[in-house]
Amino acid sequence: MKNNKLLVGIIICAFFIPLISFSQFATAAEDTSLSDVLAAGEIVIGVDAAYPPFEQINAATDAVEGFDPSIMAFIAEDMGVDIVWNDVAWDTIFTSLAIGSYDCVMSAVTITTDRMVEMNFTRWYYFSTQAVMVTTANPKNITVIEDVDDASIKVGIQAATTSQWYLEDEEYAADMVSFATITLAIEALEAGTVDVVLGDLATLAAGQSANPGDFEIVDNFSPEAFGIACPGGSTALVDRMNEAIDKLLGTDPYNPEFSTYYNETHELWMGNEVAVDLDQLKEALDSLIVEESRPTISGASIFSLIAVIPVTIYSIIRKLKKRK
Amino acid sequence: MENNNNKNNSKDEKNKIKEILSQIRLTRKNFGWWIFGVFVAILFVGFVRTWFNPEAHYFDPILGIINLILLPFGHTIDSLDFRMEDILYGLASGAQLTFIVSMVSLIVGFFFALILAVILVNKSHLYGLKLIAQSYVDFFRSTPLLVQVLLVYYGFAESMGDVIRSLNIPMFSYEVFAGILALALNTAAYQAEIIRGGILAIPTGQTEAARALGLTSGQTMRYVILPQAIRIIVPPLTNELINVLLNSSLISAIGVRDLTKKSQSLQARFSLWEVFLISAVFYFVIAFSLSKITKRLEVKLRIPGLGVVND
Amino acid sequence: MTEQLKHDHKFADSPLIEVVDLCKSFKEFEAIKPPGVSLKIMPQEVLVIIGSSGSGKSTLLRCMNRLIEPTSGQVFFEGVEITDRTINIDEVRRNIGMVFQQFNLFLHLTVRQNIALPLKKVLNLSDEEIEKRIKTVLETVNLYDKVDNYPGELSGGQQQRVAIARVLAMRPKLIFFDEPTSALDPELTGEVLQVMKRLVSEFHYTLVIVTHEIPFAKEMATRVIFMDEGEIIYRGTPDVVFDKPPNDRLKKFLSKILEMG
Repeated sequence: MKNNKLLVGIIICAFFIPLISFSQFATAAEDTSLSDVLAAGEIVIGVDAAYPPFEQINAATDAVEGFDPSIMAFIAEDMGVDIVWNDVAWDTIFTSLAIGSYDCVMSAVTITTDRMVEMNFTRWYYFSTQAVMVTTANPKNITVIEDVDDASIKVGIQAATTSQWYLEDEEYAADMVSFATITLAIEALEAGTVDVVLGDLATLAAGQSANPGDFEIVDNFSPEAFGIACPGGSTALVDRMNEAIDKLLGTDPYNPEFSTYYNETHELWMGNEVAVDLDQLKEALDSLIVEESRPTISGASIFSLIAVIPVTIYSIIRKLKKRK
Repeated sequence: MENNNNKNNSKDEKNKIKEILSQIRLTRKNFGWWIFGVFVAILFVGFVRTWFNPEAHYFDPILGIINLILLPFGHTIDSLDFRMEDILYGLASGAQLTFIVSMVSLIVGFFFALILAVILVNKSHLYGLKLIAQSYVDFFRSTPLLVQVLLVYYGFAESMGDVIRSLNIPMFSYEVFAGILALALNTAAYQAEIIRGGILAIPTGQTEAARALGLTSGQTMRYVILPQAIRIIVPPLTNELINVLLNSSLISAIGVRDLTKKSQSLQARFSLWEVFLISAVFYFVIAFSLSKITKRLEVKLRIPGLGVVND
Repeated sequence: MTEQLKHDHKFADSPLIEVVDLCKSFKEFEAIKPPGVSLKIMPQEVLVIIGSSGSGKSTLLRCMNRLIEPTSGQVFFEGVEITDRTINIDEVRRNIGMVFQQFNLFLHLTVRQNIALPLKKVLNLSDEEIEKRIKTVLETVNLYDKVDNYPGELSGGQQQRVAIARVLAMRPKLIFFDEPTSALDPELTGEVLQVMKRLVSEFHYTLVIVTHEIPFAKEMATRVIFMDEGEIIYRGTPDVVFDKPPNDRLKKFLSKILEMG
């Protein structure tokens, strides 16, 4: 008798798990993202301000500055709202976005198909590639990204970035060391605890120019477009921001026409002129188009179903046996 | 006469087979063992497969079975949720590392603990050795494991880092080494206390009898005291085994890509908190089956005529 | 078969054990008081030590094979000083058997393994020889059918007989008995005493027995020592000690024992 109650309890619990995970689909009712922002008169943005030249903290004024804030300033002005920067750690930035801690994340976020499942992205506002940076001495003689496929090589990356997914997807044998910020990874490269650092080209270039003569960027790989990430379902806000970005980059994403403001901003923070390889851009943007809509109900619901099936079968067998 | 005997023998054999069969027949009582046995067998098949085919993953057969269960509903894991395969493979490889790391550190820690315990129960002071052993145990039992992990990781970085890297063993990086070492040192302190308690629980008469028969003190320890102590300490050691397995999640702090680290990174990648739920299932399966196996061991080791039979 | 257990001592007239001025004091109290105990144990003698608890009998017994280190004094075994720290005491102990009040069988081993362990590890005998000895000694104590049982499955009397068998298998030159029947129910003491009687009457073993079994002592002892409060009060033959005790303290002790019995 007692056992039976326990069993029933387990089954009920097992059925609850998918319910929890299905509930997030039920709430996709009304999109108030834009009206909320306009009503408040300010847009709250999550940022990990340790990623020069995209975003960093100004030592004197304590304000967030960099390429991203400059672009955002243009967008906010276009929308007629103020900006509130929220400086948070990178590895939990999207979790906080999902629970509504800020309206969007603008922190050099690469647009990926994985992220597009849970989030809404604006059109791209910056295009670049990832890069491989080594010390000028280069003791392991790394010249292309494929050289990393070697268990004796230590690769420094920032945790939970596209560099990490790239390494894992390619299943490179390298010993991956993840750091909380890219600056820590570059410091580790200088100290010799890692042999090579992977990251966004502009960031590594900034690290290189901060330590002149120490580092060398040897290879580019994985072209990537950056966008502003909003919580899933906030289409109105995304559309409004896209309007503003169109004014900066032109309406055709495959063939950008850079405005003066964009060019100036780029020069100011990156230290060079805008140069986008249109073939690479097309490749990157095409990879983001998923033909068939990919199936997603959250993983736990499947797994709990798998748990439910044996328990149910077991309890049915028991019931039948007891009848006998 | 002989014929008769033969008949009897074959009857006996038949009965024996029947008895064995009745024990392993699928019944309500051993249903769980069946599921568990099949699970282990499938994992084993997966492991063997990876030797012949390096491209394969030991988790493949399990995934195949899950797909088989889903087949009547017109689905596969991949068709239900395209992220699921990545998550399961990622977590499975993390679980493998977690299992190996905790088992290795448990065994290394056990032998270290054995030495410590023998020193601790010794009546003489052994030229300060006893004091050192006692301080070791006190230190590791009174500081948090996470701090110990970080201490070992940074403390040995200069001396051992290059040595481990030059060995060039796959999966055995300096981080894994530091993690195993820290866990082993920590569990050694706890196990030493457990073993010491076990040894002290053996009546002094056993030692006296052994010494009076002419056994040396070493032989007494080895053949008389420790075999009896082991039986006493198996239940608390089981506890420690589970503790080590679950505590091993702390080594994710130094970048070992164990189950916890894997689930963190997968969660960040897909922004899917349910990954932790699945990783909890992984932990549960390992810990629960370990505790079941050691329970079996406990029953096996029980000295006939002693103790209470409770199953 | 029983022939193998019989003893003939080379030096029948020199003492097996000689104790000279032996004292033992623990931290709190003096178990054996100065000036200490001196005694000689001759071959084929059955020495019974009696006395109330705490009188130092067990301590004396344990000091004679150095299970307890004596504070001062000397013990000689066959003329060799064994209180000398440099000698290998394990070599000496294999010649001195000891049977305990609590039996002290190794609980994790079967009867067979219990007897085989010291034969294998101390005497380094071959497997056949060990098997032969196990059969001999277990038949002597009438327990060969229990050879594969664990101690926990035996009664107290059976356990004590196995303990005696374990000692016998070592072929010691003398055996100490430390209150061998005190932990047994009265109906079980008989079987143990029976075995001990056989050791003397059939195999002529040298025994040192600490006991409270007055009738047994009276029957078997060749010499009796009475100890009280850490010193030897009286030594004599059993008929003198038990029938007409010449000492007040001895008289008091005996009357107390008999009352209880």
